[in-house]
Amino acid sequence: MGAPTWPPTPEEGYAITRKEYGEDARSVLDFATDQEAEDALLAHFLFRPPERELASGEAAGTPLDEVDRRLEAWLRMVSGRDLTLGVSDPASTDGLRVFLPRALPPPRALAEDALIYRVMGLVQVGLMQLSLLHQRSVLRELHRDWVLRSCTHALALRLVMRLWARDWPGIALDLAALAQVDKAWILRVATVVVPREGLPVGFRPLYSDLGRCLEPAPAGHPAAAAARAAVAAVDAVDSLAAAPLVLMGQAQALRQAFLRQRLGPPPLPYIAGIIRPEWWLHDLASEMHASEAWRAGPKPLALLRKAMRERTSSRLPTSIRKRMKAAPSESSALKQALTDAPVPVDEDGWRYDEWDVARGVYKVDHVRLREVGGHVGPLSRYTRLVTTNQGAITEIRRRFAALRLEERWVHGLPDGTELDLNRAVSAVADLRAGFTPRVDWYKRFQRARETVAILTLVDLSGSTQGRVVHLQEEALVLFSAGLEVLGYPYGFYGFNGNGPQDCRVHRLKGFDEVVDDDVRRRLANLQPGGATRLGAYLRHGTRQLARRREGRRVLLVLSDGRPHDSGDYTDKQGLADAAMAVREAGREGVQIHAISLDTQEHAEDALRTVFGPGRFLLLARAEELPQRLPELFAQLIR
Amino acid sequence: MSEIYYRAQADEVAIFEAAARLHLPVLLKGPTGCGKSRFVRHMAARLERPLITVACQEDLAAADLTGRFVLEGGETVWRDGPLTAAVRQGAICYLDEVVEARADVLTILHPLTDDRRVLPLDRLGETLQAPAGFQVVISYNPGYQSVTRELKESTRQRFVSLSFDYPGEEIEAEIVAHESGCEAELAATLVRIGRATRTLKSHGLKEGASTRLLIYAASLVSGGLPLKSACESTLVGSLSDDPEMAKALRELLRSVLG
Repeated sequence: MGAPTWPPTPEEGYAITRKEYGEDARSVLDFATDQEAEDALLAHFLFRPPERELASGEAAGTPLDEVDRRLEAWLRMVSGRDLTLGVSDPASTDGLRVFLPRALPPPRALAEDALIYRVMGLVQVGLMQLSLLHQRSVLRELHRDWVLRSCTHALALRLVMRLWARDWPGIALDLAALAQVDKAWILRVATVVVPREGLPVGFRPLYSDLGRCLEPAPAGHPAAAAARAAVAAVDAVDSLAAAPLVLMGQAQALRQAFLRQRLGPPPLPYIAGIIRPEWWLHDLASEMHASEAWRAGPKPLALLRKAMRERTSSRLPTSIRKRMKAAPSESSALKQALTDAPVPVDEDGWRYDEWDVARGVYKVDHVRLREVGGHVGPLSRYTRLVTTNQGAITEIRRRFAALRLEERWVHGLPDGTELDLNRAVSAVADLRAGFTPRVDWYKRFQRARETVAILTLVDLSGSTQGRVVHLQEEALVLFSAGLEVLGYPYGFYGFNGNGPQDCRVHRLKGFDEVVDDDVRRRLANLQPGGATRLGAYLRHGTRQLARRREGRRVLLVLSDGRPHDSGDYTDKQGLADAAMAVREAGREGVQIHAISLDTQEHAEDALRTVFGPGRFLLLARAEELPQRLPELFAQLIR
Repeated sequence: MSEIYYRAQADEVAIFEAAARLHLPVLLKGPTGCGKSRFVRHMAARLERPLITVACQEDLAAADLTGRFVLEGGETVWRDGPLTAAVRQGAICYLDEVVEARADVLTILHPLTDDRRVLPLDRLGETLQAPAGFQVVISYNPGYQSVTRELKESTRQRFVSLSFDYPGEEIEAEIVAHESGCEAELAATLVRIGRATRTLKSHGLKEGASTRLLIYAASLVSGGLPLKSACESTLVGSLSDDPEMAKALRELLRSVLG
């Protein structure tokens, strides 16, 4: 069939629709009403499986990981917004974060891909800045109506790109370069790629002057009139303040026109991403709270088993019942792994007091804490961590070796190898003036430092599940590489629990253990779950360190949040008890420092309350943890 | 005394003048390079008082502030430290980056910063009464948290506080143009870049570009250096050693300058 003529005959329209939207849309033109046709198109796009090619990582372009740090920094700087990056394909935003694809489509070309990522980020930041998308009524309307959503998005894309180019000369150059980049202009409806060839004339003015590879609309073509008028109106908008009314009005008009032409939603170029009103509407805070509560609670499988025991006649679905039957018997090791109940090394455990802030008294022997062997997983994880971090490990070893051998003059000593002339002169002057001088006029050259015993406690509560726990594993592996060089005695312990009677510390590496394969298996296979009764763990760490004979004893705490456990061990009580445990440690000569990944509000205040000023490091990016942990330690002992 | 340029942002001049009149010590808080030291110099000139500045550091001893006996030709001679000298002259004693000094050293300021206004000099067996013109001014940057110190509460609460921040866009451009002698348009461009970098504070950069750094960049351009080189050596090189952040800063320069 040759190029279609406009207006198309019913046969031509039928063929175009099939070509663009696939066989499933065959029936679209058969519907009697516009609404039915639209519903059919919607069903086709919303329920067809998404194209995985772009996100699968196979044969992909540059991955986001390679550019995300500088991209996030640049987006923050040009937008002035406190934003972070997340991963989503198509690119999107929830009004707070910018989500970009994990990898771009092939071929891989760093400069071009970085350009695409930059513009994608700008488009999403531009959408964030549109007050239109902050109105719940508008979001609901966009949520209901896919065609309206796509029309709004296509017009908003033009607007934000033009405003960025107007305000930033360099971005104008970027956009001009992007117009030539073919893969930036892949057209999609939701995640479904549609062909660019034969793009209905009605849609074409939406993309005019944007991508060079998109076919322009023939001049004066009546089918393009609606889109041309909408584009002209939006191109005349000069500020974000005036944008919402024009955008919404023109998008409504376009929607009507496209439905009349039986065109459905206009496809959007790859760089435009997608508007997800449901993300904006959703209460993310309450969702996160619910998921954390769930993760901090008992394991789902354990819950099911409990339900099975309580219900003699189970009404659970057969598929689950089959899995339950296949579950291991009470004594098997597999069951232990599934229910996350480690075997105690010391059956009796320890008892610790807990500070009750409301009553101002200690609850004597309130907490029972057991030390258990850490989870032992495959060695391959350790090997992989070492292999992927080889450069960082070499650097940390070098830095720690320098710490060990740092030589310096120690001044102000009552006895030493040499006279400290400055102080001696001062002392003589004091003597002559009739005062008793301080006897501190010697200095000596220090070759070795005081030995430091260091215990690292790692938060393994449920909230660390996922990315944080992997970064903690990486941090421990890097840190242990450095400490091995330094030769100081050190231990690594994880901690979590459920209530005051079930606090557990997981031995990852004891003070007296050498780093063998068992230790490596434990370090690289942390198992999170449970809650954080921080005071008890700090007291336990202090007790361990207080027994050491080294001159300095340092306790490092790695955590992603605040003390939180069942009962009243929440904000105020948890913080007060942990702060009291820190003071107790001070009396025992144990220094406590913390690295926190706490992202909640007032995190700094909470850390200051517990650990005291200057005794914590709050990391804005969890990814910095593996590097910063050894750095912090190096600063502490310098 | 010659006038020192300072562009007021709010009522800081009036507050400082009132504090000086009432013999109250002043604490200046604010990020690096936002004009704290310049403000003190300006106020000293405005009030026609001598200014003695001490850059605090960890090894600063109390004797470094008050003074000590030294040997001179077989005699012991007392040499005033900067604090004692300021008390004797009725000067403003400005302790810059005061949190860098050890907290116990700063306690010697206590009798000078309450209603007693005295400086006991044990070595001389003397107690100096501060004259009307004497005033203690301290400054620090509360932005660096991590493993640094904070001011002791007993010290902090003796001071009238003035919080500084980077000036608003137009005022900052005016300052940059005035200090560097550059064109207003260039100053505005540099200020735009500088303000953009400040959004990275604690997110890759410890601090964004200070007004001082922007003045350096503008001065280099006024001195004949091309704009891009001037920005590279100040707004990229001086802000971060992290290669990724340097790339982000270069991309920002490109976005602004084209």
